[in-house]
Amino acid sequence: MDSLIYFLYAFVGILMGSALSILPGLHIYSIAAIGVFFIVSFPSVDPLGLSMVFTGMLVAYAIVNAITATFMGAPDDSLRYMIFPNQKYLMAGRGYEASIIGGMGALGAMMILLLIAPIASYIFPIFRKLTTPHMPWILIGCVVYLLQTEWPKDWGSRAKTRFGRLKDGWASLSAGWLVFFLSMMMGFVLLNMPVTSIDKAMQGMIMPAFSGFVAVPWVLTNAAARFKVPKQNIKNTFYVSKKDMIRGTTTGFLGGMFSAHEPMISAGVGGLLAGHATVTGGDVQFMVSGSAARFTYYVGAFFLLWVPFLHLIRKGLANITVTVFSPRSESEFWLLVAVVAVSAVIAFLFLIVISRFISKIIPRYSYRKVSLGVLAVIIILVLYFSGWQGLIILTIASGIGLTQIMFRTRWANIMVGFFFPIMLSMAGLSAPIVKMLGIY
Amino acid sequence: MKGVTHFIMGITALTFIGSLMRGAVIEDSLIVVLGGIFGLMPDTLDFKFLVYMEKHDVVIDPDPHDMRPKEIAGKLAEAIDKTGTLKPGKMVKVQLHTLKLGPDLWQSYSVFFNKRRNEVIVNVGPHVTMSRVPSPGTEPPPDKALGVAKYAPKLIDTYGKPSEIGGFSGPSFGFLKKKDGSVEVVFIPFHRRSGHSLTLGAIFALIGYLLTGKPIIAVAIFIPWTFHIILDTLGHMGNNLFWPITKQRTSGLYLTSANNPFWNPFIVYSSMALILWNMNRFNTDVSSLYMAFEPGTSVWLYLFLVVVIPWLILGTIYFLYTSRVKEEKPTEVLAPMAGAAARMATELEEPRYEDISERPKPSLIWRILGIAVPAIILIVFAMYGGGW
Repeated sequence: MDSLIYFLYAFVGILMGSALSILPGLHIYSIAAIGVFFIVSFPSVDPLGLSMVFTGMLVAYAIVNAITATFMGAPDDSLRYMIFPNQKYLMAGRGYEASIIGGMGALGAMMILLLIAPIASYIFPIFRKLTTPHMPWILIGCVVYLLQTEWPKDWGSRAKTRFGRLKDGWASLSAGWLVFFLSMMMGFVLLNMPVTSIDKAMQGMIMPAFSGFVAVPWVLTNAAARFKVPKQNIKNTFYVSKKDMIRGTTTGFLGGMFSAHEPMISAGVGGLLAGHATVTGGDVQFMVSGSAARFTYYVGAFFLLWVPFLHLIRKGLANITVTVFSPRSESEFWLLVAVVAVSAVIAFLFLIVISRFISKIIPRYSYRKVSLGVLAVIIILVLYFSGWQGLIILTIASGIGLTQIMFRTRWANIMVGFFFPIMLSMAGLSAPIVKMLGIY
Repeated sequence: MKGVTHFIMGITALTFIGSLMRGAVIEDSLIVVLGGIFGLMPDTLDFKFLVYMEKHDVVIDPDPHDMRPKEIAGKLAEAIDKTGTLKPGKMVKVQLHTLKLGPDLWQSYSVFFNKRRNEVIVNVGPHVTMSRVPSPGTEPPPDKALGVAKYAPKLIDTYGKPSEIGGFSGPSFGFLKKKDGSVEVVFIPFHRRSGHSLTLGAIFALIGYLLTGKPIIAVAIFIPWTFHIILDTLGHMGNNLFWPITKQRTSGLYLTSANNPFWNPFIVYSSMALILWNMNRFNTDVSSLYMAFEPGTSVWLYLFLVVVIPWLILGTIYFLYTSRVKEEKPTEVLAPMAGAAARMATELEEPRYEDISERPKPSLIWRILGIAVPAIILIVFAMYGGGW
């Protein structure tokens, strides 16, 4: 009976997480910042109960956030421009379907997480023991792979000469590397010369940087495009095959779990690696695997903190949680597993209801105005959390994000570029660069 | 094989070398990453440089707003006929362009060589996105969808399927005159030539050695490169192993295909299992804290438990699934696939089977060698690499 109260805590978290998820541009790191606020404001709250609030928030964020990506064009990581299927579906009047397909991917990932829970305390400690001393080359290897597989996009160059064709092809390729370089330089500056105090680093620097990298360029492009969202078709039958669901979910789970286990690897990067390895293709598989990867990345990383004999601290919310509560017992682990399962189902139901509502109202509004409204929300949030310094970070990051969109390069370059200085630091290679830049 | 498969295979080979792994643990050495870089380097060279060096004899660039499939088929048939008049060993290269209509919209068309009727068939399809999702109602009327042209020489096309031209860049074909007078269709002729030769791998390894003075760097370059060539040879398209001594691309061993959804994950998974095995093996030299199982555990038992059993189960499921489910209906299209693309897929069922029977079948000994050679290299590495 006592444990039921923790499900209530989780429900509060689901409500909060769902509400936060609909606010475009608000990244999970900002939710972690709200977690800090919680700890400071309510010291008398049961630490385990507070952890369950976080669990509910995180699960809801991982599932319901598909709405902003689909209907408001303000995605977080793992999503990409132009060939991003959710927006294609939205423009075909199938935004609701895209949103629910994504939710199904997340539910599928949750089910795999439940399946591996009984063996988690056996397998994850093995990975941790073996890979810990090899972390620098594993992480840098991932970055090298991403950069090396940035293929030229010449769009069928008509240039007459070999050099002309080479130039056309290398335009997007070099832009992709430029985006990586600029993002890396920004990472070096922000991580070595914090413009805000350390305790506000998450919301003060990371949030404006991430909003600038992804959300602002996206909404600016949508606003400039002046397209009208067609009437949305709300139906309960979807074009999804079992094969697409199984392949998408397993691929997303593998990529998400890899990124959850390894530091500095985002869901997008993990999803991309797993997608290549399992030869994933098509819009449905992409949507399913993207959502599954995102769910596993966020929830899986938090799950690893609770696994008995592992207690691996990875990603934002695990770092926040250990400041108030350190899970130790097996019963706490199983409580978390149960709360994740129940929260995922409730969050999925919320996703259905909210997606239906937004599908009905969104064609009535100008998408341009919605985009500009989203931009205003992002700027207000950045000003509130980070002040004018945050606005400068947001502007610079938006420039980098727009470069990525203009040249249609891989978005993951931005993310891995931003965290590359930490990887170099782990390999003992960052000091000379920091010294050269004069930012130590 | 997919890029990630080559990348991780290259890394796997180097994790057998003791000095590299101990260096990675003790000094954060990154030399192991060279395995990934040079495991993928042949494709990097082909698709980032050599693709642009190709000179085309015929460029087909149709007007997307006025598609004339007969004209396209005619140009291709003309190129085949012209090849028939050339000396053996000569090639006519044809570039087919993609036709961009919008930021993510392309006019699709497909090309098929019907050898039974000596015909080039060009079908105009609907507008498609980059992921080949067709837009409803954009299919051309039947009288403007199909173009056929006859050619004279006997044609050898080991690909045997229609080539779809959608987004990104269009394919190129090489028509190669054979000694017996026939003409072979060489798909993307720039690919797997000099960039996929052992000689170029050796040159890179030599450069690596000369720059660093360390033989291990040469090994870290050449072995992953060699694994790339071997893995590619398992597919349909072979390589030009000893360029510039050998001039043409050989045929593959037809054991798998580059995008196979079973073998790619299998190789990636097995490679990861071997990497973890090697980590355990060499971590032990540094600290028992980083050891997950006893170093004396048999590698064969480990591989049996970690690789063979799970993949036997998955392989059985995959085999049962693919043998029972012949063709899955398209499920993610914005409208059911209709018009030229669907018609092409249905009508060409018969010739496709005919073509498959014509494909070259490498002898059993070559096929066994294709698998045995990488296995032997890995076994030698496992036995002696620890001391290198």
